[in-house]
Amino acid sequence: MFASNTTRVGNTDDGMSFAIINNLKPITEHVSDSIPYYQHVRLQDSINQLRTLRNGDGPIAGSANYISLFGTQESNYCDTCTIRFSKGAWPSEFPIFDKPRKAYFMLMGWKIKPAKWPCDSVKFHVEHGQAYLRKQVADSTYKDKKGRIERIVRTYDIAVPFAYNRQFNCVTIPITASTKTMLDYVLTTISILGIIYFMFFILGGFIKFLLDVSRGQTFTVKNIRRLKVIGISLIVIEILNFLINLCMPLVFHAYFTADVVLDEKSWSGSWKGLVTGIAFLLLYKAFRSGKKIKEEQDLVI
Amino acid sequence: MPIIVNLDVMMARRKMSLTELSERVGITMANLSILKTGKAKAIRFETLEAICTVLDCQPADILEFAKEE
Repeated sequence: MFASNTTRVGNTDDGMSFAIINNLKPITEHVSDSIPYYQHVRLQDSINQLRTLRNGDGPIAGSANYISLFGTQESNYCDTCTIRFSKGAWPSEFPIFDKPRKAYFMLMGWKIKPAKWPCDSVKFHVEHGQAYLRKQVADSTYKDKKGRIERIVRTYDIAVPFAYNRQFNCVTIPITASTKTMLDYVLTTISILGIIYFMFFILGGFIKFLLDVSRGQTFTVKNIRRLKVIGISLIVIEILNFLINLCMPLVFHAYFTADVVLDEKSWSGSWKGLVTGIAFLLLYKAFRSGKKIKEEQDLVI
Repeated sequence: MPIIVNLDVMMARRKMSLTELSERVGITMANLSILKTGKAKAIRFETLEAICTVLDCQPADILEFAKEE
């Protein structure tokens, strides 16, 4: 029923031929296509659930993320669970909620370094409580009879100190339940304060600014201050996000290996906030000049 | 500012109050007060013309240049 070891051969863009050798047991067992469709789907679901339980990477018991930087997650896990087959009966929905739980601290901006062609994608899995990355490494080259250079790519399981969340595609750090509770309080408080600041000073400030302008009170000290606060806040938020993400490897250096990279998504959208912030600062400058001109105009008799 | 506004002097000479002047010139009391106290940044020719007409004087009677020490 399950697939055996695989070898794949081909050519890279630079004309070098390669052979990928995978002698390892598949992480997720392959379900034979010869069985009926309904049974195939059911078995595949059970296998996936089993893998989720082993990895402890599903937000089964709940997760929360804060300001797109951090998050906490609590997942059920089971390292010894297996799928039981009985005569003529296929496994039903896998029972997961009665399993013990593990808590994790999610680093939302960090992910596993993606593999480059021709290697298969890097896969995270847990076996007997130890987390591994299954990755392919070109470890030797040789010339064949025709003088062509051939690259041998072998598949390895590399032990890693971190865990991985497949849903959010981010690196997670195992923590204790009490640490998770404490982090939840702290992060929730910071998030609420952040939301209040955003609602009151950024969104609220902008709405008040629009209302004042519609009332004809355009070049006022309050409006100028609002534009300045909005502009600086938007820029600072983006810069702070980026800097906090960059500081993660320093704080959690024990969990960062060469396989963990900063997710492009965590900073690629920053330019929107920065551009908006700069636009507001330009508006602030324009309104400050406008106020000066208005004051002078008011003193022309 | 080296430009001194002598509007109060001319008003005293003509025995005219600020209220009467503002009504006859057609500008608000507040603006006339700004002009009188020397806080004004500029004065329009048409305002100067209207003040000179009402006070029957020359612009030089209202505005004076004094060199800063």
